[in-house]
Amino acid sequence: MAAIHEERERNVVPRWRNFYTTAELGELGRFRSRDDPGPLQDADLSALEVEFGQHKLLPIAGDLLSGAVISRNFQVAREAAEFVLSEGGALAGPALKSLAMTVLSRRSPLEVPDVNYIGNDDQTRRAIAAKRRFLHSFPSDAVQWMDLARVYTIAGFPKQAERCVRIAAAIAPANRFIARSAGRFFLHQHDYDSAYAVIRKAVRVQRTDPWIVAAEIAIATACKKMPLFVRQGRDLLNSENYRLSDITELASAIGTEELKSGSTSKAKKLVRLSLRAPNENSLAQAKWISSELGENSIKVDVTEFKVAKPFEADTRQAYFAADWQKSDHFNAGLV
Amino acid sequence: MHHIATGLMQLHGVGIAHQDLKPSNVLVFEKEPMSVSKVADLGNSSSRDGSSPYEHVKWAGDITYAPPEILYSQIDVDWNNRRIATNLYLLGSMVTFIFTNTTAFAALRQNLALEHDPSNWGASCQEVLPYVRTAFNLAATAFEQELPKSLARDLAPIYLQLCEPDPLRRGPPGQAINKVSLMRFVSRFDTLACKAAAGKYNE
Repeated sequence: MAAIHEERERNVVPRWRNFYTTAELGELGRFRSRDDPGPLQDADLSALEVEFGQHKLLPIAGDLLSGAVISRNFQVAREAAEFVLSEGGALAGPALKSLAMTVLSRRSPLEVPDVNYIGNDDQTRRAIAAKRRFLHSFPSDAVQWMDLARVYTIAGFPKQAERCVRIAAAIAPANRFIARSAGRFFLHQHDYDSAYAVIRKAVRVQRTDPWIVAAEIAIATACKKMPLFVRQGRDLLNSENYRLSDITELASAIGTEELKSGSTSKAKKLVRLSLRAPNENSLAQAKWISSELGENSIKVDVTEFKVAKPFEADTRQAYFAADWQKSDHFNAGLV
Repeated sequence: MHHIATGLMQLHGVGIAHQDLKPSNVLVFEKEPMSVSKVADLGNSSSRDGSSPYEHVKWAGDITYAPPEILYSQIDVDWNNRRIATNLYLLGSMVTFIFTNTTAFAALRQNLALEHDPSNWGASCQEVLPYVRTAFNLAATAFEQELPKSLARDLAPIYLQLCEPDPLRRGPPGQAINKVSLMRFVSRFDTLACKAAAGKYNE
């Protein structure tokens, strides 16, 4: 992270985290509207339930458990899972046991090798080897290519990382996770043309995706280019078709543009909108805008918001409060 | 599996897609020297000439066995594309069930982030595909690890081709979905059955 006192300009450039952390933070959703329950509303497990009631057999339990997991009938799923792990225990295979344990929350559903820190070379090497083996078997998995690029970047192999990023972007150029992460990567490599090209390609396809439009505005600005989707972004904000958490970065990105063009009242209004359901990035941006405009103009207290991984905003708050020890602590979390 | 694939292929040959292949719709008859399996319950089937009562229904079979494209509401208008892709997936899901007692999508589902679940996802199937693919690949790795090595070598490629989440890439690599013949899988399952009878998988 750049030293705060040196940072003249900050943009809402997307964070690059591993895939499952990004998904857990709610940045990769496209939620179904309430009046469209989808095809799974027709799921009917009653015949299987009757059969399972009459014949407590492992294959029937497995069939029922699978159907209940897909249709998200958790009560039925729990009953079948209990049977699989207790009475079916010795006969059940690893896949069925794993499914049952996931239902009963005895196993983390997503056990994927990953590294989130620097310092342990051996663990990093093993994570790289595991991901390479995985991608050798499944070369069209764009998400895993992107995660391998992240591990390579952490381990200090930018050329290998770039190769992985380019493969991921070629496989899924319009995907939100890939485009935003790739944009961030190229920006850090000071390859501004590639950074903008990758996000521009995605936004042309996904014009109604507020996360990609926000990234286009932020990355274009960071690359000293003219963002082309500010008006589109404003339309998305006004459409009221999105959850507040889905437009927080967009409001923040357009707010930053307004600030730069001198429209402070518009900027403040958009910052307030971004703070209605902020993520770590938009909260840090709000803190930066607040420090640009002066704390009296718009006050942002990061402790008021419940945000996952708010390391940068915490660092800024502690820095401006001259609490150096705390600032260093939060800064380590950001790394 | 050889008998089930043969049944599906014969039905497809006369322009009928079963649409509801699941464990409870396969009848097993114990016979000597080996048991015989038959595909049953054509009540939800679809006919190429459009004469079946469920022709205009998005999915007539049991939705919990449906392929990902149906769960994510992507319907191909071409009868061949849609039915062949579906038949292949249902066959793959039967393979999964016979060897692991779980279905293909349930095995994948546990690796899927909550927001990418079909009941939450509100955008197109194409947009969710990279996330579904990574969940599928993890499930495929687990499937392969569950089998004896000699069987995994022969069966895992079949599983990958049949359960491929993208309907247009399902089936043998490089072959357009509307050109895929189930005959290829019938003969591969036949080979597997012969090898099993000869004790090649007794690890």
